[in-house]
Amino acid sequence: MRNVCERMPSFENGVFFAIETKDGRHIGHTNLFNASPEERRAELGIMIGEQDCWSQGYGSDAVRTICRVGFEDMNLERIVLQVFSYNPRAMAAYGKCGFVEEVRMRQDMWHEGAYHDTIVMGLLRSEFAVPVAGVA
Amino acid sequence: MINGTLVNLRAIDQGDVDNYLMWLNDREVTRHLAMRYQVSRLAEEAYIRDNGSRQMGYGRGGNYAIETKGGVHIGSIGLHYVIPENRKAHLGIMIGDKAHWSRGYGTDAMLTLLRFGFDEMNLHRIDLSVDADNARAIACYRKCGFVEEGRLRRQRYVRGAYVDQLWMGILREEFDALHGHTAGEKPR
Repeated sequence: MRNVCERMPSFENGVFFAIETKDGRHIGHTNLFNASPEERRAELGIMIGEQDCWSQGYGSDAVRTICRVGFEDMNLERIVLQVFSYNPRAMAAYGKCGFVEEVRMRQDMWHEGAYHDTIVMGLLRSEFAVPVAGVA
Repeated sequence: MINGTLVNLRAIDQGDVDNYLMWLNDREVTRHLAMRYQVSRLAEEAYIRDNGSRQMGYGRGGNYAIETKGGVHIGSIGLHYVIPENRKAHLGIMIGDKAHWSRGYGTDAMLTLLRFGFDEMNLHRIDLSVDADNARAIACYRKCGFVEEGRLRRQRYVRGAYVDQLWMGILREEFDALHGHTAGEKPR
């Protein structure tokens, strides 16, 4: 945590945000990292730690919002993320934000006694629709 | 020395600097590699010194020099990002000596390192990424048994344009079913 937060946010260092509800409750974090300037691409990470906030649209709103940072502020062409096949809820949320499944790495991830697929999803700048909701 | 049919794989050492300088500064060689800037002798010497001074091991995967059976150094191949819990690794290869392109050396180096990854490192899965317009490499990987697992759209920017990358993977049981065991090796 210190490692991430002590570095000045930048294209090279990435950007790291706490996610707060509108009434100020800290429910998780989201970040863009491993940004490649030549390819204008970065990876997206997110965690909603507060379980009672799952499946209520907070994650999708956070993803859309950080994608705006990526495309509008960092001038990215593409954002990618990885999700595991045992997490269909996350995949659905990313799909809602416009992410498309691009790669399915078979038996890539060992989790709770079995191999699972890792799915790479990608979103191009040209596909990103600026949300009406989610804009402050 | 890891023995293949056409090639041997060995550790990379200081004496290899001249070859890597020539290859990594040749834009035809690096066209499909994650290399785009010119490399100085000092930087290449430091890279080989830093990476070569540590013993290769599981977590570090490692880069091997590819030599023909006649002892000609023609490129390198390696396993990277090895994750012990998932028992997976990512493969990268370069045949720097253009006179040895399209003659089966790359395929043999691949099969040799795959065998090592599965039979010595006890990996479950090995994957790689390849530019979608690199037909020669894709044909080689298919011949080795790699399966196309998807396409990363506009993943690379090369020579003024975005290109897609294919993601390919091979599981240990797929490799064994295709290639069996090398002669002289005990079956598991």
